[in-house]
Amino acid sequence: MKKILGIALGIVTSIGGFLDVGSIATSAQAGAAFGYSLLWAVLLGTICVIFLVEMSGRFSIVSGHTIVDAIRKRFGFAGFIVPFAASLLVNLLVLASELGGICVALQLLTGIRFQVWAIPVALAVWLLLWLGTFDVVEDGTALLGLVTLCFLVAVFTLGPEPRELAAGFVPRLPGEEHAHYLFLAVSIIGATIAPYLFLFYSSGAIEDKWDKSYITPNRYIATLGMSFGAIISMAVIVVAALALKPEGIRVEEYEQAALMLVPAFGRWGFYLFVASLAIACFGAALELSLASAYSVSQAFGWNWGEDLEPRSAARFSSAYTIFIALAALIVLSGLNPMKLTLFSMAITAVILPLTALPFLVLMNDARYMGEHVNSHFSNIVVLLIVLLAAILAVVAIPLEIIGSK
Amino acid sequence: MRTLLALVLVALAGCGDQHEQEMKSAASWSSTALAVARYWLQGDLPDTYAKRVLQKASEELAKGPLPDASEPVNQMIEAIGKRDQQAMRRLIAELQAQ
Repeated sequence: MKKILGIALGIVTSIGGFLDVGSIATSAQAGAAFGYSLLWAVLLGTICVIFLVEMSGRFSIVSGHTIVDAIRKRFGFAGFIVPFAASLLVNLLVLASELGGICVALQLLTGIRFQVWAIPVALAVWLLLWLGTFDVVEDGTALLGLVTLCFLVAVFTLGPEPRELAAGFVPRLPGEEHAHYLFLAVSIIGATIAPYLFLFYSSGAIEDKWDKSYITPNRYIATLGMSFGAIISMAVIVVAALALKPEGIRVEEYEQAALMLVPAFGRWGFYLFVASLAIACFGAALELSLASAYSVSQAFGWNWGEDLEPRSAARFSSAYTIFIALAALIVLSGLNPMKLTLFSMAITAVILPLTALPFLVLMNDARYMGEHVNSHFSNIVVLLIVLLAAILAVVAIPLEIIGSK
Repeated sequence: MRTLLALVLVALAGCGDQHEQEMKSAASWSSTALAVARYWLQGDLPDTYAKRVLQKASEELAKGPLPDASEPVNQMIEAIGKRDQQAMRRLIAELQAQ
């Protein structure tokens, strides 16, 4: 019974924690510009992230190691430093995007410029990490994140045409704006397969002391949690396609995206959007800060754990403190939060092979995994999607930069 | 590989005309202003947010290829300040005509 409750909570928290600033920004822009035609990108990203999350849980359960720790041991410091530095840099950009998302939500609500909120928001995130436990961080914010289900309710309220919806799952280039279409496709995939997600999940499995009895629950949590979470991400595309595209509104700023729930819920729609953006970004900011501090601590062999008192894991606590401060500085600099988010997601897609490929090697190493090594099918699916996303990102990012100048 | 190459070529070909992009952006901000004004009339948006988006729309329109469209948007901000629904209806018609 306890395990069933654990699975249910895991699935619920995966759903509530799925949406973040990247998913909201990329999906809103995709729906407003291209209707349903980028739904396939969420599907592709979701298939890959289900495999990666399941693998990361299985890896920690069987080997007793976190991914970062094992990559460092398996490949040595020289082989480890490049993916480590790249993923930390991307984490920093994504964390700045998440903090920016919370600040924009507060700006929408109060009219006070988003930069003003950078320090108070960073302090709030830091304080919760300093005082909270892993369960509070993981479950508390994800349960609040269930407010994002409002996008799903809006889909049923607005009533899309099922046949048109189904056509969105088949990739095809639109009649115009090919470069922007490709850029959004890779940004969506980057937002869906965020490496911090499976690095965090792997560390979480160790924090929660999962043993081999969790191999099956881990599979259910990864598959069902990520699938239902992705449905919300798809719902954002559908709502933007139904509410913004017919009006001729393209989402260049969050201010425009905030209109998308108004046709479904009236005045409440505005507040639901603000709450969804703020809560989803807050949850993701906590996870990102922790994931980055986990990575740094595991890389250097420091004591780590969110359930430890800060004085018992001083360098771990310092790592997330510095990380949050740096991200707050990026927000304070006044960089456009929407552009920062979209580029962070696209760069995430570029560096995916750097983190996913060493991880795949580990998943096939019997010294770590014993009889639980990956199947060929899992290897091929992850390899194909990750490489495709990276190649498309390398093509699409320069085109988007040229096109937006 | 061939599909990927085709994608790259198509994307390069569609790199986009700068003027066309600016027109699309201006049209989008104009549509945003219209939607905000309409929703505000229905009581679906708080004043603070409506004014802020219209301010942003006005700035974007003023620096784009449709600078004249920023004037009715500025007047919409004033209409919200005065809670003048009649003026807002007139301004919506004026912006739609542009």
